[in-house]
Amino acid sequence: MKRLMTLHLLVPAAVACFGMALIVVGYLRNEQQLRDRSRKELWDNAYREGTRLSHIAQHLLRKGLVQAADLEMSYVALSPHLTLGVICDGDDVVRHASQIQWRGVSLRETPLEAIVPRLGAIRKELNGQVAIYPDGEVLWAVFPFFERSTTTPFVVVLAYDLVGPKKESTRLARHESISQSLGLLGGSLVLWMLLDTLITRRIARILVFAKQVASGRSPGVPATGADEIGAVGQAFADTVGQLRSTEKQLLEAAEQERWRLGMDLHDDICQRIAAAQLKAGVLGVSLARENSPHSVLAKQVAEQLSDAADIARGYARGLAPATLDRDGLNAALRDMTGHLTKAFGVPMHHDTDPRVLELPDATQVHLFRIAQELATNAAKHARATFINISLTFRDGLLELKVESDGRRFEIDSGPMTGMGLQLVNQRVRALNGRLLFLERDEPGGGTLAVCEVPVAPRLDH
Amino acid sequence: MKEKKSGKVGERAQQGWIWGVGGLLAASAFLLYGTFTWHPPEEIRPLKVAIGIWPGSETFVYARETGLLPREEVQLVEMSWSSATKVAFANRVVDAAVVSLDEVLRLLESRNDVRVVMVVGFSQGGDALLARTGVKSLAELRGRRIGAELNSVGSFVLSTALEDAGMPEGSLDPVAMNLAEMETAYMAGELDAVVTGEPWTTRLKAKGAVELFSSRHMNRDVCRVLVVREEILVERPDDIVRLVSAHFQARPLLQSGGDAKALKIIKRRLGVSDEDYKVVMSNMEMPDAGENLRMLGGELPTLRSLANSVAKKMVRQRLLAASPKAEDWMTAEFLKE
Repeated sequence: MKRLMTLHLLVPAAVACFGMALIVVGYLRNEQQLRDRSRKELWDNAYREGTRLSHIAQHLLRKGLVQAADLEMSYVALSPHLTLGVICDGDDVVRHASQIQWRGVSLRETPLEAIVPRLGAIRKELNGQVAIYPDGEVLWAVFPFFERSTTTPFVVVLAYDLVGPKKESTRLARHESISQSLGLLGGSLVLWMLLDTLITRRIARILVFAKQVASGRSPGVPATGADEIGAVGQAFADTVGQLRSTEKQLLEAAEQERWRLGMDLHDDICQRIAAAQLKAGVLGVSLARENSPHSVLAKQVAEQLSDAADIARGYARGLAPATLDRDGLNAALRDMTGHLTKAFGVPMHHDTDPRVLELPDATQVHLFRIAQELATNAAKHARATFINISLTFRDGLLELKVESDGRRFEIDSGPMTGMGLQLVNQRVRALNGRLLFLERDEPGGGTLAVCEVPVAPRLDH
Repeated sequence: MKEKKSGKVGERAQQGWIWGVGGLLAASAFLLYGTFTWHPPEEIRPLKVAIGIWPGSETFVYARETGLLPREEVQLVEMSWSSATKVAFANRVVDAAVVSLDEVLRLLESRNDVRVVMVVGFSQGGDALLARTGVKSLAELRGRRIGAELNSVGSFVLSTALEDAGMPEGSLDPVAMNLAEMETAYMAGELDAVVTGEPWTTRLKAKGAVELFSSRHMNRDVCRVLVVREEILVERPDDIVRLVSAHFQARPLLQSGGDAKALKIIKRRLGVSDEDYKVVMSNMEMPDAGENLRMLGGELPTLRSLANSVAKKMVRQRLLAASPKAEDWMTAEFLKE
């Protein structure tokens, strides 16, 4: 149900419903109009035919042209919807008829007997009448005239069927409504397609774009075009671009800050601890010479200061790897793998293309941090028996691969969805690269994390 | 290695394209259908068939009165005499008509949309030259007034009678009038003889007129057929089949065993008694569907041979300028044995 409540279904459905309502109203009005028009035409025709026939019959019969009157009545049969037409004498005997079988028969014996009771009044008034009765099914035209030999007027009686025209009106109205409905259905389909192409699909792309942005990717411009949705898409893309730029600046600032902290830690705190350790050692030796029981304590202080110096140096190395600044990415990775192997007891190897040194410093820093985070996570969470790090160039890309066995990395859960992965993703975005996690098909399972970064063509060769 | 994030963007795009094209086709089809049928439909009107007063075409009246031909589907336009049907048909006032073969040949001189779909009947004495009692031969009528329907079957019978008697054209003084008027004029003494057809032949004989010549001497030359306009055959073939079928259903019943009420109406229309009705029917031969098929169908339809023969006579009698060149004026398509 929720899937149906979409704009591209609701809008055409609303148009179709509204259109159908209009068609139904139109059908009812159209049917009534057609009925009224048909009845009016029949009425006019009945009056015209009745008047004409009474005048012509009067003329022909006064001249004794009986056959001509017969022929006139034959042609009356061509009038649309005429049931029967007759000319009666003063005794209500049919003299001429559109159906020859009624000639010479009393009007009471014909299908027109219903008009007989009214003939007296019509003859008396000597006025022709057009009327509908009974039940609106028959239209009558009765026109009296004087034939030479009689004192009682003759009458022309024409009976028209009203049921047929009524059915015909309904048929015509229905036909038109069906045609309109088909047109409306076709129009709704076209509207649906237009909405789908012009609005829904583009909005869906913006939605996908928003989700991709939320997951850390920058997929480009979600919607183009000169219309409002195109403008929204462009503005969205601009905003995301600005966001990414700010993010990059923040990363660089954070890196600089980390570097400064690391350097401060190494150059100041570590030096002070080393000095304190040295002094504690000298103090211990002096107290031992004097056989002072405090010499042991002084020695312990010196040892703890030594440990503190090691920890501080580790922190400093993590925050500002001196080898990266001094010897480049290759040396920094060697240093880092050696440190992590010692720290976690997992054998680590690295294979680095020497051309990585030609990369910009910022790129090297990002790649080092990405490799550091991925390798640390593999060592911490995958229970790996080995970790391999490689940096190679291929097809205009620099590929950083971190491969490990053990527990497979779950993209949707686990620690990597935390801050660490977010920072990795930020760095990948800063490099305009992409990060993939592939399952290793080899025994022992594990994961191959691949970070692809576009590089200048010269480095590719 | 398997990529964990298997993108489905391409698949969705293809599905969307299929939906789009399918939708466009469906919409276009509906719109086209709606557009083509948007115009108000043709009004359904009954098929108009003109018939004169002639016993052979009473099959249609019988069919109407017994419900074989619903009034809302077929409207019979009843003319007081047969030749009026030709005029109505020629002027496109009616869709079909019962006319004589010589009238068909006359129509073909100026029209090429005439199609004969059925032979209704042959006159076997029904069309005749009648004179007053005592007149023994046509020669006795030389210079006398004789009523005849000119430009119709009457003139063909008159010319053939003169030819048969070896009398030149102009030997008689023909007076043009229709069959219905003829009886009154003859009885009023305005005419010395008449060339008439059924039911007036039987009626006048009953009043003392004598037969000098009749269609019995003309083999099957006096033949009446059902003609339909070509466009009507295309537009309303079912109605034509229904009409033809009704004729063949009514045909045997008209002669015996038919509905009494309907037969009474027919006798009233013809203005004949029960006895005279039998005489009227005996002066006519009505082929059944099988014979009709033989006459109208096949590679050598016999009606064509008959028409060629009649046309030659009419050309000789100067009733027709030339034999019709058209070949496709008859069809057996609407006949079912």
